[in-house]
Amino acid sequence: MTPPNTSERGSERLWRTALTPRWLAALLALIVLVAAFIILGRWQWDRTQDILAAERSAAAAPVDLADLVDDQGSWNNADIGRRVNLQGTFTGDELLLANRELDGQAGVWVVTRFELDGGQTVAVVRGWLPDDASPSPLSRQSVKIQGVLHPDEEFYEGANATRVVTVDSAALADAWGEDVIDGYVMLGGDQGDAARGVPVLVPPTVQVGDVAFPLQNFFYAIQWWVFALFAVVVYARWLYLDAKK
Amino acid sequence: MEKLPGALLRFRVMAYVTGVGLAVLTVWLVIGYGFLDYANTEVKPDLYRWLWTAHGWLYVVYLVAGVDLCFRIKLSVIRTLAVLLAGTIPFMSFVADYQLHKYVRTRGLGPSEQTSDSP
Repeated sequence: MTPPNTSERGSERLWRTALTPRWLAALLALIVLVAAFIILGRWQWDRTQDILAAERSAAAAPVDLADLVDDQGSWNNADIGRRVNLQGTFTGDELLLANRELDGQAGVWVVTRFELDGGQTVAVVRGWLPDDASPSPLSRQSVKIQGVLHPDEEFYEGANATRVVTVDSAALADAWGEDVIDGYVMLGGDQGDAARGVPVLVPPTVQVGDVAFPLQNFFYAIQWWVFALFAVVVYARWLYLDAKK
Repeated sequence: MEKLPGALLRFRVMAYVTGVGLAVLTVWLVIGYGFLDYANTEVKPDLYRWLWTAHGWLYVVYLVAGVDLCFRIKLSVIRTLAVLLAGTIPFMSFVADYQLHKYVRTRGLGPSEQTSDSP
């Protein structure tokens, strides 16, 4: 342990050194530098947030299904959960998939064949109905509907061997005798008059995955703040060395 | 001065790592923005972004090594700042490393002086 006298003198000397014009000027420079570093860090932090917000709104904005699907009816896994617009016609081919509960009530899912104006066919889940109800008929006019893109349901192999029980584009293609776009669209959002009817909309089971975090800008923000901290350490260390002389 | 060779070596390693990294990335930047349309973020490769991020952290390590060395040899404030800023200008970290070694040698602080001259 150092005697109190010595340490007191040490801190006194430190203060006296710190208050000399030279070190006050250094302190001023330090304050300016640290303020600048903090502001620069804030700027990168705000950019991080802006990029995130822009990515999220881009991911949430609906896109035309036709733009996501290739000629073979495939689409990118990254688009699972995307909100999609469909322009086309309900053909009237409809399947009721059994054993679908909604809020604890037994019922069916109404899966309808939808022909896009471009010619491709996609399965649209119009919604849920209680077991004893039947879906309302749809007009054959071209309509614009909106929904959420889902992958094929794959509960277990051979599930649809005797009759279709899952929303599976391959099984539906067999049932309808036509190629069907992979996966299905769960009707939702603004669907237009034609599709509004008896089936109760089912909440989409897949959500939009989160977007890529702009790690680079985040790191830049942290680095600026590290520089600010560093400047303080360097100032303190120099002051200490100078006072000790 | 105790442990000076270690501090010199640490700084030399960081000066070369950040120096080479910055030089390569600067050339890449000029080519990328000049000829490859990197201003369009779709075109900018992930590797390029990640190398800049890595360089940022390496520069933090360079600062630590630089300040450590400058404190040990009691370099003046202005010169120390020059050493630290040298890491942000392509090729200047090599110059800083050379100057620091020369400084240490001419003042007889360095280990090389002592080992070669002492009987």
